[in-house]
Amino acid sequence: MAIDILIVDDSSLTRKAIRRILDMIGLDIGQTREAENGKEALQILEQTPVDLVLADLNMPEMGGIEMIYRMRGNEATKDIPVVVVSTESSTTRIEGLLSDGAKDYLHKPFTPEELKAVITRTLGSLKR
Amino acid sequence: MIKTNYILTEVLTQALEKMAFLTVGPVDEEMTVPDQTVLAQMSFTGPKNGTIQILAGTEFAELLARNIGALDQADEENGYDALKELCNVTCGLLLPAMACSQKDVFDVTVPKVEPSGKAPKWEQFIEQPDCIVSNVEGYAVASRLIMKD
Repeated sequence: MAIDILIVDDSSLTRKAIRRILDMIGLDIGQTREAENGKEALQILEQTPVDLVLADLNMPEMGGIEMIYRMRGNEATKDIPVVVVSTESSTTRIEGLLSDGAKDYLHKPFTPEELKAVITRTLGSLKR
Repeated sequence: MIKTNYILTEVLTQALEKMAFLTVGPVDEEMTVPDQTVLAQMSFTGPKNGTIQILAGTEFAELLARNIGALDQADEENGYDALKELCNVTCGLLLPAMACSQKDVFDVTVPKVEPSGKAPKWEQFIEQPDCIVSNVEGYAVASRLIMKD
């Protein structure tokens, strides 16, 4: 089944680069949607559920941490897996993100193989 | 200051190579020095506090955008976006290199850009004693790490 993905990043170039990588990594990607920040992402998710969210942390208006917190508090979005794609390196903060509801973490800059691996791992773990 | 400048040069080189496939070479007289400059900057607070600044030409910023986004053409806005993302990734690589432990937590601001016309002039910027100039595939790019007490 095709995977519908929401990409949340304030950089339009990063969103484009992720889209391009998704097209070339050999996964069955369905609809790809984009949001500039957490607030816009929540609005999109209210209308259109997706299978996976790839989200940056450091964004204007609403960052990734608040977005995850709000997603987890909403019945409609609480089970959508979120992979954080960010430059954050602190193990303390990454552990915090994972315990606060992020499913996995991918450090920027990343390779296409790393993105494919994190998506496969995340969606694979949900099937079990 | 020598040590932090060395780290900044290293991480900027890594960021350019990894995110945009651009290589940094030795500084030479033939580099393109920008007329129209763009400044990207972001600050961090935590065990250490400071600001990273990257100053480049609009032409370089657009090249960076084309490489990051695999675009055939890039405009000024794409260039600003690309330079902000370069600053963001550079900061993300810099902080663990400066941290005492992997557990150290830093808060960072959202990267901001001062567009062409508002950014400092190239000559003014590189006169600052802690400024580093890099040669990125023939384009001169300047960076600074301003540490606060």
